[in-house]
Amino acid sequence: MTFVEALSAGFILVAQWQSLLFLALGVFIGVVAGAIPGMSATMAVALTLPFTFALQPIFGILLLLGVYKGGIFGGSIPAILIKTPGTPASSATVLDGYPLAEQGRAGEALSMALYASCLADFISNISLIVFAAWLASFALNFGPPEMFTLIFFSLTIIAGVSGDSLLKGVVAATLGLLLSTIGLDFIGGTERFTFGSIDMRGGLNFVAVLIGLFALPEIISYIRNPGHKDLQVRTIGYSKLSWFDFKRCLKSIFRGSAIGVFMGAIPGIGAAPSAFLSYSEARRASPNRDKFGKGELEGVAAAEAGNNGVAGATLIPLLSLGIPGDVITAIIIGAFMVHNLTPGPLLFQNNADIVYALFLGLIASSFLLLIIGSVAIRAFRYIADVPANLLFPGVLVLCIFGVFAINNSIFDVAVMLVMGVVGYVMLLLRFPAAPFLIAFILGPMLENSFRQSMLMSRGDFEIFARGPITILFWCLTAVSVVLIIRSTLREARQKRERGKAAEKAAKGTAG
Amino acid sequence: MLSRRFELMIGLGVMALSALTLWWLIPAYVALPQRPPLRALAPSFWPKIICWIMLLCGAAMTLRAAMTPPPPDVIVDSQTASPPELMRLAGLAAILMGAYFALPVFGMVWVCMVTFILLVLMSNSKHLILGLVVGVVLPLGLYFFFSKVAGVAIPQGQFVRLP
Amino acid sequence: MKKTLIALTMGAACATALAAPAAAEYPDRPIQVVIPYGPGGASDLSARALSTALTKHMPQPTVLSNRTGAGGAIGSVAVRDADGDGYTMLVARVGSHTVNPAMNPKLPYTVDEFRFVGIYEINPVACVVNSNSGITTIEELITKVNENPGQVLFSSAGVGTLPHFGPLMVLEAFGVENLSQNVIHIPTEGDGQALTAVLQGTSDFYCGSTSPAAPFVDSGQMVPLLVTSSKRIDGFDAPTVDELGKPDLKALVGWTGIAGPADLTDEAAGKWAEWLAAAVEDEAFLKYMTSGGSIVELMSPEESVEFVSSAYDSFRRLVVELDLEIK
Repeated sequence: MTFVEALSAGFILVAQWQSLLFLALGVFIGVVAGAIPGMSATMAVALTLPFTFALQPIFGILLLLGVYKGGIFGGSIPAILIKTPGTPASSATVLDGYPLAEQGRAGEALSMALYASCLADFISNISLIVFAAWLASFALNFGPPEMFTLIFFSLTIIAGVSGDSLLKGVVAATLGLLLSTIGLDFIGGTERFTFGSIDMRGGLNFVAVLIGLFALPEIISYIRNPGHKDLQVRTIGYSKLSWFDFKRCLKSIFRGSAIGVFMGAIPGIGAAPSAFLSYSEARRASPNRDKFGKGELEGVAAAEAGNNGVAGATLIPLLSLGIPGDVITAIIIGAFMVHNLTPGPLLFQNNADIVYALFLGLIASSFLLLIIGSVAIRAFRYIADVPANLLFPGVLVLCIFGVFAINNSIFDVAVMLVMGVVGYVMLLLRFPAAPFLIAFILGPMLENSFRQSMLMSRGDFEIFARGPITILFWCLTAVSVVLIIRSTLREARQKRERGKAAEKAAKGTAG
Repeated sequence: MLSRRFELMIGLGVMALSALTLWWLIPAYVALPQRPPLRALAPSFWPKIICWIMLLCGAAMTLRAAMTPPPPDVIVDSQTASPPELMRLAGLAAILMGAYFALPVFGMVWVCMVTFILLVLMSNSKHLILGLVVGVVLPLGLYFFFSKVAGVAIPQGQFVRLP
Repeated sequence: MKKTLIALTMGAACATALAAPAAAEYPDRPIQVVIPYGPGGASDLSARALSTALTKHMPQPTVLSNRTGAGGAIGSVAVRDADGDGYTMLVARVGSHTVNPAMNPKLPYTVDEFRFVGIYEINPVACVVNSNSGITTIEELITKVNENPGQVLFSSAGVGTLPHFGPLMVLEAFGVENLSQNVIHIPTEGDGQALTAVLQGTSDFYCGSTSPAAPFVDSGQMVPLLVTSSKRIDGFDAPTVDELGKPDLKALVGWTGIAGPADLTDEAAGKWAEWLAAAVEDEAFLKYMTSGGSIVELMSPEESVEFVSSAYDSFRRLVVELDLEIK
């Protein structure tokens, strides 16, 4: 089959109304599932899989891809509205999305999240089609030592989300790293910090920790002083995103998409590091750097672009090598296999029509996401208008149900509640939550890839400089560290000067 | 910004926490394999590195708080809680603890209803009736969604079972 | 008066609610089936396919619950501690119920604490290498291991999983000595990652279930060296262990079954055996399972117990002999 024949055969497959219907249905299921804390895209895809057995291969696969895409965007809705990220990937969206919602700009934040998601998704799909072969060979060269250097570099993000005090950010990060070591040892299978509890052997659940850390401190501060929040104008999620705001964020969206495509093509990294990296790069490059973390649309745009940019690119290792990049693509492999399609290099030879139908379907999914997403945010933004005295208890109940649903474990509810207290104490002591979370997500990847590399080299540290990729990341890390030190010193100087000025002013009024 | 005394205490607290982990928790609760592999592969290798970094940061925080001049009072946030605030925090802690231990016994739906209504009462709400209605409807709605649509076995408790 | 009336009706309602389960025939409410692994894994998908087939034959639906963590231990313990009334069942796997118990003496449960109602899936093990490696037969791999002691690596889905134990059992059968020193185990976070490691050249070989390896073998990226079934498998152009003269390796297979707590009632066990017998005939189920290289073969409760305990014994003997215990 020539390229044109395959393309037209693919077009005929997608142009059937059922194809678009299943794709739209998938996106819808995904958005709803993503919007409910505790229902992740992974879970929604796993629940949908059995229904695809009876469908034609292309319908089934499009349905699953729709769920996947919808789910990733859906996670941003509760992240913005109730500070409850349903997935680690949407926790970067919380950083600026929730402050915006508190300022009564939920509508703008949601629209920005949607447009950034769709655009990044579209770019990611195009990259999948154009660069698949090139990025796949790159993925093959990405072994544990390369992974270690990449994650090590990603830890420098912490500086960008530490707020006022870098030291406090680093302490919060070490706490996150420490908590991520709970559970069974990766290499030896022995127990670490389990304190004899069977539930602790599995480690602390990601989503329970991040919901506890973000959503619960809000509830605790509200209950401590309910009058305080009632006075704030939180209502009106109807604020409209202006073309000007969208345009100024475009650069961050493109950058985020590129980061997403790159990170997505590497198997086993996932969307969360990409979202955070994109966020911190946007902050570094933005003229509005100081507003990040206090309600900056560009932050929402960057985070969402970073996490949706991964979506199309994770299919690169899947389609070209047969490697699942994450759990969701592993399920999608199952859907391929049941229809006697083998993902991997052979797919392009034997089932080119399916491959091109898939490509076209993916592009269509970006547009469907735009339509279904805007309906969804119109429906969900009323949550921003719920009075605080109903909203916060409601969020608590939702979190209890959601956290239980992830792993059917009451222990996870306890983890969430305890992390809520930890998060509240951190809030009081001015420790930023984001570095904690990033470290908690990256910690296992960092440790595991370090130890895998050590096993490969039998203890020789030279393996961490074994090729151009590792050296590139060491250089990037060095550059970031220098930049961080420079900006920290500059900020400290400015702060000292401001302090002196304030003191003078205080003395002036006193005297 | 917090007061200098407070920052000093935080720095010392961080150092204490890391020292505690380093010299008590790690030796006591990280099981070491009998055949020791490479040193860099020991299960306690990472936790130890992390604790040392934390210890150093704690020391740096303490030093900085001790060395730098105190911030002027105008920009120092108060950390004291008024008695009613403390009462409410204690109440919330009691409700959450109670709810957690009641979950497996009475079932998630009933416990969440009670928790919701208690929280609405605590927030001196103007919308009491609405709060009661939502408090009953929301957990029921979530129950039906999670158990019927998402297929999650929500804990039912030992007394009254929902369909 | 009114209050007593309400109290009476409430009491009566509670009494009927409480009394109902005792009188009714099993099952009168949905049955929770715990999957001790995460969504999307091989056991999860297998259980979901089974549950879809089961719904046609069961009077009540099954509710599948993933209880991930610690190599299947957390979900397994949850079912062990549940009532034996048949409303909480477990999807037991080779990892959670033979390999891990055999390798890890500190596991918080033993195989005897479960009552098996049937094993429905057998998944033969295949050993695969990267096709760029130049290795095409198991003998060549053995020679490589013997000539480069401490240099050859194999990847697994984690400590105490089938691909952790499988390679050791195979190498032992082919006479490699001092295994814990001569080959190096690289754990990863799942079969997908373990195979990715082989594809990248991070690890030299992988011995695990055929289903995750099938796409790579189909596309020619990996070469299968042996399969542990008694017959050759479609798509895997490799000799069986019988042909290689190592019939003992036939014990090395993956399996999936349904189990309840040890005190599971006879009524529930009997019902489950019936339902499973009907479900394994289901066409969509068979199609899905065989597409991944699994063999659908239902064992009776007695056969299942026999099968699991003999696999456990042979694994355990090897673990003790070779000093592979996790400690």
